[in-house]
Amino acid sequence: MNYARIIEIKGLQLAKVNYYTVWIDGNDNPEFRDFAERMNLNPKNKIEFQELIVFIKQVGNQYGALQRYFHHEAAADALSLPYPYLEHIDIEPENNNFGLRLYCLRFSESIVILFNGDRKTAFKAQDCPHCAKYFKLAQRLSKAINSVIRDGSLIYTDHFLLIDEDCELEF
Amino acid sequence: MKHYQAPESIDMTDFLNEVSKETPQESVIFIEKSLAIVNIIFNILERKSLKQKDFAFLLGKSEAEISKWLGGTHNLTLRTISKIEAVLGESVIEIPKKTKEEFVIEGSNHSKILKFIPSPRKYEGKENFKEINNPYGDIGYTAYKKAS
Repeated sequence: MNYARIIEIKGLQLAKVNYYTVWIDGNDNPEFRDFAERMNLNPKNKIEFQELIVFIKQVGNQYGALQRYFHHEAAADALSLPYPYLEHIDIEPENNNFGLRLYCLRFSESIVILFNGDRKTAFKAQDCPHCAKYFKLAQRLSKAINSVIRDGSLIYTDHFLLIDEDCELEF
Repeated sequence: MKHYQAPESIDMTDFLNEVSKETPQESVIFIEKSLAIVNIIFNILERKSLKQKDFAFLLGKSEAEISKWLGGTHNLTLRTISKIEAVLGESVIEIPKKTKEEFVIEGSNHSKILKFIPSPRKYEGKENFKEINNPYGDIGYTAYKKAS
């Protein structure tokens, strides 16, 4: 069994959206910081990563986390997960081929948990050698988060997540 | 009994500021304009009581493709925007009409003048010019604009 905790991201607590991430016990980095550092260090991913950050900030400051910006994982339907369900943000490169994918959980127009991701190189994320592991991890984390919502260890207001002091994600 | 608190935090402010500093201006403009255009399209759809699936039908596209188009990060081509404008019957992008405003600034400090035509007093028919609020503020000028 693995454990993780929900983390607030300072720097992404914005006018319209508060972004969070998850830190898996034993890992050096929380999931979103791991994604950010990997993408930023790779020249092939850097431009799209920079655009992703512009996007996250614009959504966070100006528009709110509207449904239109987040794409539904078909697998979430198949698993019949309750809301909030796993979604993703895609940043397409200039040539409109596959781009960067970041998995996330959108609670509302004001609260989003950012997970991890990578460059998608296949039509289905599950078939992509880069994204598949992050997709599976995001699925497991989503189920764990839904579980703590159900047992009341995690609640959310209009703008914030609040956790019980003993709240731990088990996955 | 549950005791609720805010989650612990990590500070990515410096990292994100560095990323922003290095981000090319064209990337910032692309994302800002993409989001703005998508916002306009959604406003039009809402006004016309059109759902996304209706919009997809009008464009002859799948809902999945339209969802991708309207996600805020898709590179909408001018041809695609034209198709969208055609089916919606409304402009999504407006090209500003630049009219040349002729005005004269009268004053002692001519170094501030950006557009200068000879003072209307040198022309017959000063009545063709009207005094306007000085666009450069109160810096000792009187501004005139050619009456339309």
